Amino acid sequence: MTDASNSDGRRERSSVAGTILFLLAAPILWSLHLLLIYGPQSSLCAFATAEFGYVSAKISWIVIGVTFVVLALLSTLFLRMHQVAALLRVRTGELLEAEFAISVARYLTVLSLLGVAWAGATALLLDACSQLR
Amino acid sequence: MSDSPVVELPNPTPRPAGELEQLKRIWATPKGWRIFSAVNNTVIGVIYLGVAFLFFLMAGVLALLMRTQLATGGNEFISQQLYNQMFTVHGTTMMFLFAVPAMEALGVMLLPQMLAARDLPFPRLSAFAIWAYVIGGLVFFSTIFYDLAPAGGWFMYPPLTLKEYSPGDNADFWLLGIGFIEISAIAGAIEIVVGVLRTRPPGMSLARMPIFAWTMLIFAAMIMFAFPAVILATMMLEIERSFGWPFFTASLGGDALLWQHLFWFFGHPEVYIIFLPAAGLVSMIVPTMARTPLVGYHLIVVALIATGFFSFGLWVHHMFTTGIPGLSLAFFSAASMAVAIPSGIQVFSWIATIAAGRERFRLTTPSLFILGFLFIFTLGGLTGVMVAMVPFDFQVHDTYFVVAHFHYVLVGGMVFPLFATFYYWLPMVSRNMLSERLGRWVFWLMFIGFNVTFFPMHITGLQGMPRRVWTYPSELGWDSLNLLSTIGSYILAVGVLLFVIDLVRCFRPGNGPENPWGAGTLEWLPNDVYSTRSIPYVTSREPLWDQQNLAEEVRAGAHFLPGAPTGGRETIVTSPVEARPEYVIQMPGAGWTPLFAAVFTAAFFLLLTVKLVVVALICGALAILFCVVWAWGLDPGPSKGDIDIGAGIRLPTYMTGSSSHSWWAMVVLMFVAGSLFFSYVFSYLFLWTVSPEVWAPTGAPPLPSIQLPFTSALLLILGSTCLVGAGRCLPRPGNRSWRVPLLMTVALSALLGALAVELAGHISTGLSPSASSYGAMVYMAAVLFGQLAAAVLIMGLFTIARHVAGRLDCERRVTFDNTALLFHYTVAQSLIGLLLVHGFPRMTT
Repeated sequence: MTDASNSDGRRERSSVAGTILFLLAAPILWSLHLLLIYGPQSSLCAFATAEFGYVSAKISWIVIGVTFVVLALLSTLFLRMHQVAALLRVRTGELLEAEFAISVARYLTVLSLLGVAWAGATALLLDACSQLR
Repeated sequence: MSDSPVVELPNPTPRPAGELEQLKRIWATPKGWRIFSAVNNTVIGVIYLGVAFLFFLMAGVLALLMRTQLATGGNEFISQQLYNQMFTVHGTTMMFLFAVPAMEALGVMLLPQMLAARDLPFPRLSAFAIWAYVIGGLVFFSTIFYDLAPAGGWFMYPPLTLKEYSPGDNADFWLLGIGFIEISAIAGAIEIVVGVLRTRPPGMSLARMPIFAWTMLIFAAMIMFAFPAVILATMMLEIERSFGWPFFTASLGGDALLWQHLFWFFGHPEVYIIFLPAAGLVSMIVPTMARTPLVGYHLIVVALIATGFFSFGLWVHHMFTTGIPGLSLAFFSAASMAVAIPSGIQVFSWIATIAAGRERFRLTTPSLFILGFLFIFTLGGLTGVMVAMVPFDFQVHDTYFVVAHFHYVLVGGMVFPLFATFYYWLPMVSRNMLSERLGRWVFWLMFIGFNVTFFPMHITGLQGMPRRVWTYPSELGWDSLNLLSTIGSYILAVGVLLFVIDLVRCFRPGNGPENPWGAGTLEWLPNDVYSTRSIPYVTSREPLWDQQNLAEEVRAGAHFLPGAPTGGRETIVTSPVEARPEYVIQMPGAGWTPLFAAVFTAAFFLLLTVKLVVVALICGALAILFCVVWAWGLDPGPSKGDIDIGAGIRLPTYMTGSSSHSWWAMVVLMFVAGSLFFSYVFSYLFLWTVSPEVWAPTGAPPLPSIQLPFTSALLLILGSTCLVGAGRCLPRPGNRSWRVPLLMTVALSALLGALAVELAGHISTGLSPSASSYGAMVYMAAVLFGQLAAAVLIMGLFTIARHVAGRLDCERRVTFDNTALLFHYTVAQSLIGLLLVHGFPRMTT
């Protein structure tokens, strides 16, 4: 039993980072999305004194573009959940763990899709740099 | 290990004579005044929680005095200056000295019991964190008694808190005192992360972990990423106040909004850092009272993780009125509304569990507090969605509406669950129950008092009453509602007073039932100073409901590790995902070093505040000395060999590399350091976007020659290479190698050399840290580098000393591995720092 445990232990150690990454992949993508839309938008707006309208339109397109890319990644994650789990070496030998990890990751992906779409959609409604009042 | 039940128990019974007595002797709580040297979670957890509650009471008294002042318009009961100090100390105490520490205390106290571990993996670190908090907190609070308390609000916004507008030491007490207490919180967080991931009982996989353990894991992870931002901010503000480096002074390229960004990047997650563990407590109590497993366990875990992440994307909603572009506000408005979804998931899950109960939901005192929490917190959540909407926030920003909102969230979301916890878990600690009859009085007084106090504030806020005002003119029509709020606050206080009376009456060792509520989780197993007699093999989320006779089997010592085979304190370390037994950790027992290290660390920070620099430095040196003495006794090595824990499983008693718990702790610390550095990079880029005109080469002296950063980089890489070489030269046990100290000395010298070259380069160009925000940011990078280099230097010298003393070799090498990890991290961070400081200005010209 000791040998089997040690061998299992080694396999698990190699998959711990993968399991954590798998569970958190969707919210990490959500965080990256916020970073990639807020960072460029706020810094470009800080410098957008000349050619204001032109820069503003470009920023809106950056936000929309980043949003589409992240939505595509999240959709892929949602549709290819088992393949991603295998890629990240999430152990599927233990049924309860595998089901749990996939269920949690799937729901987190749905929430992240919603969060990304919600924040990204604002670029369709508002000018990139103007104040609201 | 799978779901299938264990047919044979791991260990035979009856156990050998003397085994239980040995356990009791090893884990005995020190008596008399030696109690202060205790490190058991059962002792220091209670002290921690008790002190946190004391701060709640003291900050509550300040609140009552403030409400008395506001009862009528034009009142002069309290002076304006004292009122400002009072609301600052009230907010700071409630947030930093009560809410977060109370939750961390519950983690320290409950987690080992819930996970059936003998203790958390670093008991002396817990003790250090707790004593540091107790001393620092009491000194900070006492400033209110001698007119030394800060008066800038719990958020301490500059420019009000800059030296020009807040002279004296008052603001420094906040900056150094609270900054120091945050370090204590981070120490506790490291303990909790490693404890939850590595000291679960065999079989308790992530999918079977109690929800409270999940919440504490996420709570600690959030502390790791949120607190460094405010630590950096407090460092920068203190440096500006003491040395004039203009991070926040607009005329020299700084920006007061940088403080707001850093503070709220910490401050908003802080709300969830407080709420999530409380939600975890609710998720433990509701199933017990409903006599049914929690409905939607997976969804609750989803909600906790999602809340943890989303809470980091909301900070700008505290800054809606600062002139940020509308689209930025929309991003954060969307995230602020989105975070309501995971909170809603939890609320519906609790309601569903209550509805799904096998029997009628038991209306005990803890249940009443849970129902009160659901009502109050839901109202707070709804007003939270209201203030997440930008146009509405514009109207109510800085009014009493916001005061009402966050008290509904924080008192509803944390204080009510905490009182439920007191009633629910007190029998676990003292085997005595609090009075149910008195408990109902306490609940109703607190519930009515709370709503009478805070509901009218929604209306006074909508009527335009600004927050933080010392008094107001009577003719504005706010008097009646304010008087009502004041009456409510006294009703609330009477409820709390009744609770204290009941607590004083009942909190003492008793002989009540072991599991009075009939709960299903492991903390209700028979326990003593050593936690449980044997560590159970777990096959479900509610083992006491699903595993027949588990309590008796554990008490008889039939499960794992029923004795103390190493002759000292120990517990099983399991793998992080599936909880397979990996090794047995040997833990230190009672000792004075954590207490003395905490005393002198606190003295260092507090004496710096009052500018007694020499005495402060002596205290700092003594703190380091006590830490070194403490650490010298750790890293026991593999001398105890393998031991049998039951079921034929033999485990090593020592582990190195990535399986070692100390390796995990160091990795967590590196995440904390990384988060601090990320905040620095953000600050650098933020100030550049605000004031590019003060940046080199046009607005400041030209950058040093490119050869200098290259030299620094080469020295850093040389240091890392030498350290790798030293690791390979570690000799066999019983031997020493002259190459180890030599290579380590070269590595440490290279690291210090890189820092010296970097500093010399900037000094040679004539760049002054006080001339502009650019200069301040450049030297701040060196400060962060120097801070890590100092830690690595102490650890490096310590490692060399251990090798020379024959306590470090190729098998007993945990000390070396930890030093090497931090060294390589320091090199990586410093290389990125060099790239930013020397590369970015060249790139933008």
